[in-house]
Amino acid sequence: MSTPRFTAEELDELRQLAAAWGKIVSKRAFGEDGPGLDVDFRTMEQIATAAAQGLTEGALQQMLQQQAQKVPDEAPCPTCGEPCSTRPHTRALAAQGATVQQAERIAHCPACRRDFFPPAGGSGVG
Amino acid sequence: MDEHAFSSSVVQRIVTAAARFSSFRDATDAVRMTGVSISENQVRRLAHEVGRELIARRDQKVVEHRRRQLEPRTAVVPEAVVVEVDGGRIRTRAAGAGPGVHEAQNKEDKVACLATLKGPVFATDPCPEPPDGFQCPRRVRRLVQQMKGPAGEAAAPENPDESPPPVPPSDEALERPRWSPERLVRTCVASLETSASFGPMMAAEAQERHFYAAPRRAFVADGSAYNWSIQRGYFGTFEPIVDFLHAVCYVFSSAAAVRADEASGWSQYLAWMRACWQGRVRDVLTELDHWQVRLGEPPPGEAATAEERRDPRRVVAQARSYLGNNRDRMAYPRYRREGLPTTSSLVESLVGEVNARVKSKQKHWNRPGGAESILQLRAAVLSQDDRLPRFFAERPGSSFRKRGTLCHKSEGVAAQTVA
Repeated sequence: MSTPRFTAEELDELRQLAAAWGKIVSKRAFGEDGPGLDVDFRTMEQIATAAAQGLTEGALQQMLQQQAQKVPDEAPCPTCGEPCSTRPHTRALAAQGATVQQAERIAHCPACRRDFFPPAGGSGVG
Repeated sequence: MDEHAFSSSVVQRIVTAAARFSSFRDATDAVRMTGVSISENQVRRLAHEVGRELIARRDQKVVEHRRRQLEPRTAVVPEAVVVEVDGGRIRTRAAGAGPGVHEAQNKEDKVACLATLKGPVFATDPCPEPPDGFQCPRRVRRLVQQMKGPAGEAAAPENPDESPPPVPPSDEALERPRWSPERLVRTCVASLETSASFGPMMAAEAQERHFYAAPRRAFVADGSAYNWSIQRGYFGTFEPIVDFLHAVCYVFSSAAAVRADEASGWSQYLAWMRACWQGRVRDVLTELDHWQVRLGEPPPGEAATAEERRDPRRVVAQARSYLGNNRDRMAYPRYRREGLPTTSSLVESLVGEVNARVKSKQKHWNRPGGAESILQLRAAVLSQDDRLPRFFAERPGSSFRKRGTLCHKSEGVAAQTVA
């Protein structure tokens, strides 16, 4: 299965959407009036970075979770082809800008005596 | 994603840092600065793992090329191309012998530069007289010292404490105004394998870049025999050109050896160098033959001391041998007319860039393959063909992940003592 690639325009559209959420972040941090004159740029930068990190974490986690749910309850072992039941599993994954708890499914093949991770969509590639 | 607890793009950053920075320690610091928590061992292990995958991919392409199944990855046929090859030396140690350096040995790494060129062809020689750079005593002496080999001191075995030889001045520095072709896109092939294996690797890369279809093709190297074995075997349709700078070094050394004083030696050098520049190598050889008769044949056996290496009989014999073996590859006026390069400065400079990663006093790579993987990574980041991003875009994932945490135990893949 080939991974769908997004065009630069599509990605820019998403970036603009997220940029609009900056107003919400500012409001949450400093109220309706925004930061006072005593707030330096370093502080504003910290807030923006934390928000961006949270957005990355949330978006990745949501997408990974949704993808994991699409993995069937049973998957063939990559070595012997024997169908094996899968169960949910999470692991810490360092991605660009955030570390997320990756939701995935794990299976154990009794014949091969090893665990395997059925690929969810295109996440097997890359 | 693969079995590591890093996303593919993070792994790409980690191995890029491992290839770009001069040591794994520096690369680890750089990666940590991007907010990724990682140990030096993890960086090292990931770099070697990806390097090994690049080796496998490279070898697969060699097989495809041999079976005539390797397709060019571009439809564009370059106007002019050059393949240049050179070697360096890296320090190695016995693997599995515990901490520290055991049984240190120097191994030769081979580096090839494949470049597309842009430049005009000429009806007549665009530069019939040697540029000023070759007529300036200070610059020529420095060049000869840098190139070492032909200067008479080169045969000395490598001192483990010596610093890497500096890159000789490029065409651009030595020659103005510029008539030589301009480099467009460069890619790199590097390996510790023998020339019998290295030739097919170069050929596969040339095939992928459509080099064999280019109307103007050149193969530039110094006089080492294996270079010309590769040329005959895999680049037979390329114009073989021996690096002019190496020829200059032999001419300078022999001119200094046959004349009694510096001034007459310099005059002799100018005459012989000019003859080589103008393609009259046979005239120089005739004169060197006369000098050999006058001085006598060199003593048998290898020169053991610096004084023996400076023996005029040996110096003249070496120059005769070098120029004699390469005279058919020294038609420099024709190469200039055809817009082809006459020096191997592209690969000399590339070797310097490769060495900046793999060679230093502290670096000893495990034999046999410790440096091979890092050479692949270094070659990838020095190539202007997005080799690493392409590799990661196509890199398959693994169904079997070995670990589920960010903390991995060190495996026995430490490739060097301090790097």
